Amino acid sequence: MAHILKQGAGALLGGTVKRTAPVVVLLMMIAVVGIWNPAFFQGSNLITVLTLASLLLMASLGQTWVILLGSIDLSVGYMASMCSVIFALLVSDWGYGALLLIVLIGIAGGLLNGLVYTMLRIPSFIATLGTGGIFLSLAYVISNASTVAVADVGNPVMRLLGREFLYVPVSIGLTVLLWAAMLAYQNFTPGGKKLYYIGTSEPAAWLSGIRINRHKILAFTVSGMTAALTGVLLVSTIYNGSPNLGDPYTLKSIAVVVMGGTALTGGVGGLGRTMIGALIMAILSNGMNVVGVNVYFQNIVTGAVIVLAAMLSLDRSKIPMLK
Amino acid sequence: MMKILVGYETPDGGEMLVGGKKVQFRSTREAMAYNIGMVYQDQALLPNLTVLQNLFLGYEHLFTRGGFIDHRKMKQTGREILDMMRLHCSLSDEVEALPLSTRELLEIGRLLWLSEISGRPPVIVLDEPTTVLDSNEIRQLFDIVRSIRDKAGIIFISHHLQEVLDLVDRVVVFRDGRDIASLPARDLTVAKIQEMMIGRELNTEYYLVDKQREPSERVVLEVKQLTVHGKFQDISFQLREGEIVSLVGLDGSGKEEVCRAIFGALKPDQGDVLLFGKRLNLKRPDLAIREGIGYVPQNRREEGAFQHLDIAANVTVTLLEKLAKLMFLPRKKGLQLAREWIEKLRVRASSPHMLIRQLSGGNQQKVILAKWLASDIKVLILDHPTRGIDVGAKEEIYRLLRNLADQGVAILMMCDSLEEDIGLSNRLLVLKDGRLTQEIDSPADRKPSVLEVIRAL
Repeated sequence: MAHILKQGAGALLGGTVKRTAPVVVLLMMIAVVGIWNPAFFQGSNLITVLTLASLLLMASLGQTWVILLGSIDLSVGYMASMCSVIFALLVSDWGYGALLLIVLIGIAGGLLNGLVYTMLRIPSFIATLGTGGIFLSLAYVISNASTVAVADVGNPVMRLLGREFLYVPVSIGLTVLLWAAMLAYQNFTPGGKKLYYIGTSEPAAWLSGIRINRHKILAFTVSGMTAALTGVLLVSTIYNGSPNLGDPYTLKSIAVVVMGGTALTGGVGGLGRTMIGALIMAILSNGMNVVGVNVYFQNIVTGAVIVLAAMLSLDRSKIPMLK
Repeated sequence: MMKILVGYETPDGGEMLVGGKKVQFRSTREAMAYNIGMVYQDQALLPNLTVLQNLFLGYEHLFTRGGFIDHRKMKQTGREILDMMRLHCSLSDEVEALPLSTRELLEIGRLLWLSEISGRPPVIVLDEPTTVLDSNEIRQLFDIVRSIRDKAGIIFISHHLQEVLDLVDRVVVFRDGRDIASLPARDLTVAKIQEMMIGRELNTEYYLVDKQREPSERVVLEVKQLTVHGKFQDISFQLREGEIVSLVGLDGSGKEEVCRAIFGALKPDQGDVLLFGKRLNLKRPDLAIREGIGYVPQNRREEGAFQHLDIAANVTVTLLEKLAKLMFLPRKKGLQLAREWIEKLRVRASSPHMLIRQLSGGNQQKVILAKWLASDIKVLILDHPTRGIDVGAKEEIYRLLRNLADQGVAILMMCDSLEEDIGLSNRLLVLKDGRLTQEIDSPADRKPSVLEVIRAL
């Protein structure tokens, strides 16, 4: 009997726990917070949670692919900040043109990241730290280092993002649509599969004929775009942009990806798990408010959860040393 | 084996006695505590540090006074070591700037010093120490080795049999990972050792020699004056349809690099590779793959297999674009293909969803071969395809190679043993110091002897 238990526990720790732990944690959190304070399930609070989750999810979409490749994008937050400022400045006059411009800026910035990383052969965290500095400075220069309020809150783009469609705010719906499209690419196309091959072993992928740099550049470009759109979502929730509004989203996006169970070492995980990670993170911060955890203590809990998640998701026995 | 002795790797079984006491080393540091150390073939000193820093690397604490390093004492000890080894370099020289022979003697000096301070006789492993030395330096090294033989036990690894006989007291011969003889050197001759190293005569059945066929006249691959500076020069040869050709040569002869260059994984400085008369672009492996060249790398764990992925993913990696319909991959088709290959190659796996790292080495190699077999290749390059594989799986791989040749695929390979090279191939190309020096025919009815090939190396 003891033998069977031991074997069972071994198998659980081996694979299944790793794969299902985030889902179990999510369900447990919903249960605990819901029982503690049933107000959690009220429609308005749920919308608050989901809005928060959609922001986190948007910031983490491209980051998931980047991390799946074994790289990291540290410019996400600065890109979001810069785009929040630009979008807040332009949306009143340009309308949908401003949205298009933001997408193009995101693509251009992400492309820059990808090119610096692959062509100059610099580790991604240094490359994006450098470009992130550029985005940060631009955000301050463009905004004159101050908050930019949206002049015409009633313009069509802002109205669309604030509207609800079948009880679901449009901003949430758009994020989920983008997530679903990227998920389909990731799981069902050759390009998506190649993210896993590269993340598992770059030399093996290269020797099997995969154009590694192409896929890296694509992942970073998408990451730039989703970071830029995070800036738009931020403006749509608080009606202004500011040069440090998005900064926390660099670390948040990494935390979400890791909490979902994507390994920082690459090759394992994906966007499906990132959705779980975003929900966990959103419910964690909202739940702590609902339950009444002191605001100043909340980061301790978040930090502990991130460390735990990384512990579970990484195959640490395979890593002799971490740098 | 020597790596286990010095604690670099841990053994799967057996035991080791030091001074009559059973020991097991989990690191080189633990082995050093027993004064067992190795001077590696490929230099273990840190090139960007000075002689002094290298000599006492990891043992600086022996020179501390109140937590700080006493440099004067350290330098004095350093000079003593240099004197003992009769070296004329300065302690502040950067190791990078020193000749290889000096570096080797420095390593030996370091090991001797370590044994002195612990008061235990050391065991020093010298791995092919003479390959980087000229004859004067070899003499110097041998003098020093002789002068310390009273103080130390020395294990000397070498392919140069004459120098072994000149120097050592006892010879242990290894073949295919087994020790087969341990004899006093004075009873031996070079010829006798060679005989023991080669062992049994060629087993024609094992290598399916009866299935060897004459290649057709049609040239598939032509290599013309291929050069990678510092690796190999002016390599030219042809591969014909259905032909198996082996590259043979000692370590460092450049044969692995030749293969990588043909596959586009190592950029050549000069020369061309032609496939059916068409010049290939050798910039990247994917270009070679598109033309129908496959490559099985030596490093199976890192370069051959995708360890975190399942068998299906490992088989289909080269076929993604072909399998996709309207840019989407039909799930079932990939799995079906993987199942087919699992069956065809008799991979011991319960399902295509099994992770490749759960398979044995031989079965992993079969999966890696499957990805090339499935993608319709004209040329297959194999870098030590049977390394670390059990005998049964080896035979199955030989059968696969024979079948491929029957289908007209041209095969370029290099094996772990000369027997394997001779047994499998139609022709052997001998590489020496990066140059093609000889071609030896190896037809089914007149296989050259191992000795014949060894002489050409």
